[in-house]
Amino acid sequence: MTFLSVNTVTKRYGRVTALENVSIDVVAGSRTAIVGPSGSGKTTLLRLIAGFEVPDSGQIVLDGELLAEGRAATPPYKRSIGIVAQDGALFPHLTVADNIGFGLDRKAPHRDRRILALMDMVELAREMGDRRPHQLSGGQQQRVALARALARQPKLMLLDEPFSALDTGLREAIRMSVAELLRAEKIMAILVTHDQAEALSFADQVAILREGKLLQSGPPRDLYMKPSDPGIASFFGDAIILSAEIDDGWAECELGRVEVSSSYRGKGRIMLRPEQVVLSLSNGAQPCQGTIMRIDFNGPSSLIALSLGKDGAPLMVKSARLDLPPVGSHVQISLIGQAHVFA
Amino acid sequence: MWVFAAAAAVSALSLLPVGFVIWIAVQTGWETVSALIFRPRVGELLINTLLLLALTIPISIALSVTLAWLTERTDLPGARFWSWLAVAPLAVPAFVHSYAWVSLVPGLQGLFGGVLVSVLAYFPFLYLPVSAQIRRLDPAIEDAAASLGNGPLRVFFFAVLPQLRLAICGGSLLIGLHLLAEYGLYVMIRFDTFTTAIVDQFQSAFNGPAANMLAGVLVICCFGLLGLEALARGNERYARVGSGAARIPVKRTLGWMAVPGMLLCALTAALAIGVPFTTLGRWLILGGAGVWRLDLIGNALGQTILFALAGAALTTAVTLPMAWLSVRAPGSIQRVLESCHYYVGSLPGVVVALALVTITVRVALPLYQTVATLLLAYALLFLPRSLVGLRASIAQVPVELEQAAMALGRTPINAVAQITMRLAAPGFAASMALVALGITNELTATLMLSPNGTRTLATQFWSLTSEIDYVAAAPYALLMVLLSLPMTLLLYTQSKRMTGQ
Repeated sequence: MTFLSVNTVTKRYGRVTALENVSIDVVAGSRTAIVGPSGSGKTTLLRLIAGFEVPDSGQIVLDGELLAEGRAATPPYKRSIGIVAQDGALFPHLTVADNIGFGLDRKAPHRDRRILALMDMVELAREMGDRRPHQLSGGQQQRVALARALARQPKLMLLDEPFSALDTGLREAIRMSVAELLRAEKIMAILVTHDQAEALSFADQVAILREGKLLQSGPPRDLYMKPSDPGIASFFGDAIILSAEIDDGWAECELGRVEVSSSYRGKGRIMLRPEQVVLSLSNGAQPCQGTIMRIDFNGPSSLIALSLGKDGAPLMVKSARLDLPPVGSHVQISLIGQAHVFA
Repeated sequence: MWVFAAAAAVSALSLLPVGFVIWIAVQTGWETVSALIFRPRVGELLINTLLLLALTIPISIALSVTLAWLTERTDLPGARFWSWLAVAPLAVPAFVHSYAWVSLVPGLQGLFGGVLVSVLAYFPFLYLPVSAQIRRLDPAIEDAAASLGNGPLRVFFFAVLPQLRLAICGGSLLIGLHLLAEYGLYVMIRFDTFTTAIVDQFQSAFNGPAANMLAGVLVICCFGLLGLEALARGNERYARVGSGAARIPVKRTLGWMAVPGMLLCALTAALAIGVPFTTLGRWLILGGAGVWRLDLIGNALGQTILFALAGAALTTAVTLPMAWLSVRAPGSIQRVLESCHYYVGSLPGVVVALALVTITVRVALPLYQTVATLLLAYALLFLPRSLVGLRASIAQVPVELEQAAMALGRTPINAVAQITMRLAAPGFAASMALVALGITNELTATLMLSPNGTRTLATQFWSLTSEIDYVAAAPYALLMVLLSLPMTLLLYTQSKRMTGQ
């Protein structure tokens, strides 16, 4: 069931087109991530959904309620949408408890108890209630911002790069606990980020924006394994892209005969993720072999440059093996799964 | 949308004085205008005014740059103390400076007297920005100049001085505008400028075209100064190229040169601070307890504070829409409106007052000589002062906070009131205080516009000194100085904070 529907929305600032005919549906109970390089329009899309901006054309419908149709739009304070901004946007003149209670009615019954419950929910120590935002760490500030947005029990939570100001280690922990919390509270979420790993791990659906246009959307695994063009492929991680002659589910390329996930026929390009390539010591008989030219050791994995014996550029492969053969060894190359064809 | 309309209305109001000058010129007809402008008297005034500018500004620049260098870049003993004393003259209103000098040296008059007192009263306007700038200069530039084979003198003139250009231009403009607008100082020293001549004309012939045409010439002088400053400022880059924080500059060792350095600082302080305070003290001792006519002084103080607070409140209220627009919704139309707000502050009080007198007499007689008109004049005169403060304090509240409040169920107006205004409140208070203090020491417009029976500190002081009752005037002068001290303190600490020291 479609919960949020953004339908052919266009937004211009003067002569600059920030978003052009963007359509995206969010299914009830799901989490969506919008990724794209900076300037791609992802924050504009979020601000349109929140109501801080008004679209030039197109519709936004939330849970059957029309929020915006062209320039006629519901103002933000009448939408039940929560937002957590990049730096938290906490009110510096209020205590943590007052920040969290800002969206609650002053005379609401059990207001204090509710604030404490919200602090528990986001795993903030109750003693923090009297502190000022500037006395908190970055991660704690984001927890306060989340609790403040949760207080109004929104149907939809917008997260505008809320983890990007945090340290790497902390970022993952907070992202996971936020995802867990939103799932438990049955709140739909849209996360905007420029970090592809964050998008893939957080969401059920990922949409990629570039220059104001929606390029592709779908489950994270699909975007990673079946990107619609080489640009998207390399946005989500390292990719091996090879020219090939494709016929009836098989491709003929530098690596020999490779199984592909398409019935396309003719010349084309295929993509493999470096993780799909497995190296083993050569016994001299198999068809596809290479020579190790260089190994860059990066800790958990190593980046290996392979020469395939032809003039082409070296093939870059990742391996998590610690017992790699030395530079100069001949290795056997085999593949896991199918290659993806750019039709 | 209504914010925009309000800002546009205030801008239109701020065009009133210049509109008035043009309107009067058109109405009077070219022949009368030329007959009134091209006459020996105007030429005399023009020469007086130009000489005053041409002498006061260069002397102030030389004095301020020397003092700034001595207090900021050398090991002069007691540099902090001297730097304080170089700012302190600001606490003494210009006409109190001349009151002090005239009662000390009764023969002081004419151009020499005018230049002397003007330099002493106004040089801190240059000292403040120049010393702030000199403190911020990256010493690496001086090192580079020295390593390229330049001696210390050449380093100063070719590497340091050019970098002070913005500060010198800005400070000089401020002094120039004050020289054009000042009334009390020059009347006491018996030196005729356009402003004194306009007030004379106004008091003898009320609103004759003669006064209006003089006002027109004065406005042209102001615009000339603004244009000159824009030209002199140029558009080169003065910001440091490169990242990271600049090194703290090394203080130059003065050696035996510290003696003349201290002498210069001491002499300046003696003339600019010592003279006003000793004369004030002398008159106060001479008068004893008898001059403290508490009923009269209390009344004047009360009226002054009332006017100052009401004027500051009105000024803040009318600047608010523009300040909000220029931060939250900048654009080219907004820039034009904003410059309207700024230009009116560079007009002398006498021009604004004259315009309001004429307009109220001809169009809205019931408003003539009412408190409302006077407050409007204050609002126009202190528009820029207020705008600068409000703008800065609104700009410090990120728009994200306003939006967060809206996402939490606040209407836009509630969000602005509860978040933006609340967070900007300290800045608002400071800028209101600055306006209020400006009004406290305002003399010209108050003299020309106030309702009969108005007695502020400045006008009481003025009427007593006009009767040569210097003893009775002293308490009023003292009160004005005391009220100005907080502003001086604020300016001093702000200029220090700007550079993080």
